[in-house]
Amino acid sequence: MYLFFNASKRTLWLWMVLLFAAGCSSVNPMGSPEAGQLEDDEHRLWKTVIEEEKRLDRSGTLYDNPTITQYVNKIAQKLMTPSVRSSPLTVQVKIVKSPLLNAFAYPNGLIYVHTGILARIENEAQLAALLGHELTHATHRHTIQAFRGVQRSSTALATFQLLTLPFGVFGAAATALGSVGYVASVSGYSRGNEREADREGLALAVAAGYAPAEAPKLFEHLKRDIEFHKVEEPFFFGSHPRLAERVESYKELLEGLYAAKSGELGEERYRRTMLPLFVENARTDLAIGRFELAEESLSGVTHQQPDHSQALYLLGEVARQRNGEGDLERSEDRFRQAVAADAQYPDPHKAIGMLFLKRGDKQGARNELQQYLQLAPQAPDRAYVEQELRNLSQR
Amino acid sequence: MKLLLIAVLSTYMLTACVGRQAKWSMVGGTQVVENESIEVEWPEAWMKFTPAEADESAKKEGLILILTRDGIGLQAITLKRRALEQGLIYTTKKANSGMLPQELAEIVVDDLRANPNFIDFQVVGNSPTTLDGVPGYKLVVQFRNKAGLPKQAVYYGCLAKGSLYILIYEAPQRHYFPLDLPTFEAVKNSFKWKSQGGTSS
Amino acid sequence: MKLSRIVIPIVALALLLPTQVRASELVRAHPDLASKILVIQNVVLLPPSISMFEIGAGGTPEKMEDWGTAAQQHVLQAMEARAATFHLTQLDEQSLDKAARDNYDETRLLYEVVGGSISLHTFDSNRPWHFPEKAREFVYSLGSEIQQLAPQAGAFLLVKGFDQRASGGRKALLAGRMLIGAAVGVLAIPRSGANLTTVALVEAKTGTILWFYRTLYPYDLREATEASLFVEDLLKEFPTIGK
Repeated sequence: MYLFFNASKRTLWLWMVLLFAAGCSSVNPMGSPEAGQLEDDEHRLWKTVIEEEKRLDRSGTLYDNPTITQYVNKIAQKLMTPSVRSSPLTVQVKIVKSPLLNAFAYPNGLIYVHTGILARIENEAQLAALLGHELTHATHRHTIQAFRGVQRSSTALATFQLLTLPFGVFGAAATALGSVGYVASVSGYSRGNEREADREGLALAVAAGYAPAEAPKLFEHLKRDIEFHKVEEPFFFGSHPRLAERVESYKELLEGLYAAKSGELGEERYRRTMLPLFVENARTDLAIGRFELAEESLSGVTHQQPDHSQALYLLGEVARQRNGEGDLERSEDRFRQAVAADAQYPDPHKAIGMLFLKRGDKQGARNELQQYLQLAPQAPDRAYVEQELRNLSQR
Repeated sequence: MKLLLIAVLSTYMLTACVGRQAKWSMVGGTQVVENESIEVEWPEAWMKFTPAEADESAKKEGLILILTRDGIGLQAITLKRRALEQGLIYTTKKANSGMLPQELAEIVVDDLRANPNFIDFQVVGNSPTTLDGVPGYKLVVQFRNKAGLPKQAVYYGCLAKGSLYILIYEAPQRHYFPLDLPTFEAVKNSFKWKSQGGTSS
Repeated sequence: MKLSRIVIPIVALALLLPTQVRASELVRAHPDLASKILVIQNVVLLPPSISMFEIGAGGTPEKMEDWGTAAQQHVLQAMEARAATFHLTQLDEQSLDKAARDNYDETRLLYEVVGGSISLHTFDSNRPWHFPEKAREFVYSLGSEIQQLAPQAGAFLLVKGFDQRASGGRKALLAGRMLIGAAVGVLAIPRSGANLTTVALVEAKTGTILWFYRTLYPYDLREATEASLFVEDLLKEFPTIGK
């Protein structure tokens, strides 16, 4: 699965060198008096972006939860200054259902954030820092600077055309990326522009009332995650060196501009609103076999809400599928907790039934599997369960 | 998978001279799949692609052969085998010999969901079945390819002889999927496990 | 799989392709073309789809949207100029509702795969991937759903082109990877110059491809005169519509 990505890592390196060497041919930020109109190449870029956005929107990977999407957009709106509101930018956040650490902005103000990164964020202040960073890439027109720095962006385009990113439909949004999205989400911008995004983005978050100290915490957390779980991810925010740079950059800002500055965290509100996303994202981590990440996330959910039956069931599935030492007992224990939390929730009954089946407890298996079918008469795996029940009655 | 197909087709001309070369050949009638002790009845006048012995991508996929009549992008009957210890391709989960067919289907679905070539992936059918008496699963899935073309596929799979065997039919949803589905089902129903020493195709 | 492992064999492969294509190798026809063509009174042209790429200095292709748009316009104009010969009317893309738009998009995507498969497997009989049965009994379809795009149409005409040219005019004929990519439904961008243009006449009622034209000639369709030349060459092979 990494075959083409490995090939493109060399091109990525080349791309990053070119970007770094391109220097900062700066343009005036959106909304500033000196900004003026979009230039011709910028117009063409925005046209390209509209096509990429359509592809992403059609990719079937957008996360469908209006409450959470609205909530994230409310935080983004808090970051907008009056000058940005009056600029040509249309600031909107869309959430992509993918466990990978990714967030990127298109030059027209559209921001995409993956569920994977939202699931790692701990509070509104950290989200504001991330959104502020991305919004600054748009307001300060970093994309057109990046594209001007490399002739015809042919390297980025070629890399995109050959890029095979991991985790299939969960990375499928990336499959739908064009060259602009690739630059925005994978290779990132020049070091200078990234630091500008850190600085100006943090200023937006602070102006909105959020605690600046949370910014480096977010990136330290992400860095620790990828180190501890040894994950290999292709995007900018899954890259160890890039995360290390962010931590350093934000720490410098804290020591300088924001030494004594406090602010809102919004932790309780964040965790409460995003709970369904944590569960959904853990499910996708489980699907691709990232057991420890799924378990960590789900444990956070059950810590917050001990009787969350779906999280308890999924914790049971983590143990069952991981099948490590002690996992069999652990899985049964968690399934039983899920049943205790909600006896009408069908899935744990099936799971316990399957455990009984393998253990040779025919009566126990029969009871649980029949219970499952009673609770979920339209279950998509009904045929399997009925087959097992037939087998049990024949033995 | 599609990139693999490009790769195998493209390496045909310059494959290493040692070992079996990649080849296309016309098939029809009952044949034993080379090196696999599987007997199957192929549809008449279809074309079979066999990858080169040295093709590393094909080995990684566990690709044994692909059958088509009009072109791989229009209909493809594919036979794969993956040793249990090899695991699957896109998920880190592994099958084990004690797995129930439903559990096997579950990790195969997870692997398909994680396949970057499948956009908008959905399972529309998942049921138990047998392949010449060996308990397995049947999956019916829908997805779009990278270009956005809606496609449909049927996966039959089971554990046998320490490996995961998968028989796949894939075609564009429009016109082509229903066109040769009966042909594929006939191939599946003709599937027989042979003891070692059957005549080769 | 390393990129070079795909590219190098493809380059070598392509150099073995014929640089001159005989007239008889331009066309494939359905066995019942002669009878089916008689009942076709009108042909609806789907907007031509021409993708043009420039190979940059590093050898990587860049899609040139402006070139493609110009090429599409020129081909359209050249075909409109000969509309009477083709019995042609144009499909108005803008008037399609959502359902029709989805149908249209799927038709075009399917044609990419069908056209690629035809190009790869029914021409060039000396190739290992030549399918003799398909060449002998040429039966391909885009599905009867195509009729809903224009219920009164007797047939549809589809034009699809890939064009690449190296910057500075350097070109090599390299259709191999494009053909293979198209045949499996993947947008495969060769790394050097190549041209492939296909035209299909499709029976509206059934979606059956009645007649298929393939040319590797490097028309520069950005030029109106070259687009006219392409259409004139096409017309030399085009079957006579209606009675």
